[in-house]
Amino acid sequence: MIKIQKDDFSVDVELKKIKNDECGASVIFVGTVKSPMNGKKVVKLELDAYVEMAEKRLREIEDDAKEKFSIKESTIIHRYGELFVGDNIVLIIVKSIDRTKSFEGAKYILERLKEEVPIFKKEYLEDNVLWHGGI
Amino acid sequence: MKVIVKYFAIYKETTGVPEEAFELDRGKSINELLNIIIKKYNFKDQDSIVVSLNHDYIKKDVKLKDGDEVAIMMPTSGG
Repeated sequence: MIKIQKDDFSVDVELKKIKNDECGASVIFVGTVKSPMNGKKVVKLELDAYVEMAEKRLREIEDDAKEKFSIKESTIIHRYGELFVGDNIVLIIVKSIDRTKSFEGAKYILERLKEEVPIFKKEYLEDNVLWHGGI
Repeated sequence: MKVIVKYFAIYKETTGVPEEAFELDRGKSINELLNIIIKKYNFKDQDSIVVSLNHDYIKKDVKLKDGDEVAIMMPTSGG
């Protein structure tokens, strides 16, 4: 299941949605807004997203991960909009019959998400505002 | 032909609009459209422009078709 949304998510609720008794291993990754970043206190982030393309890209990544790591169930949610320190940004849940494959599958999804999914962070730091990448 | 261009992140701020339509002569390519946009808005940091066509990243120049959706973005930073 793929979602790009402004609203927060509940890990418990999302985990229950993909209950599968064949899977003995569920790996959950939750990314949150951190502070400091590069030594600077973070006030907030604004995330811009190309929602249609991000969902298409995530579906491709999820399909590839399912095939490579024998994943039975998965959930990928990425938020956009205004987010403050401690807020959830991204949730990845991977369920497989094998724990090693579950860990590897979650890592694979996260790394490809960071590289390919069109979501852009604007960082509001204590003394500066800049798009991620220093622009 | 009509092509929709969507802007994201710093390019949405620079242009002041999330999207706009361009009327182009048949046979125009992505690079020709990009040159029109760069000139119109005087984009800086042109090396960091990332382009997609109909929700797929584009690395080579391609001819555009009526109804195409182009997006002007920067490198991703999600996760």
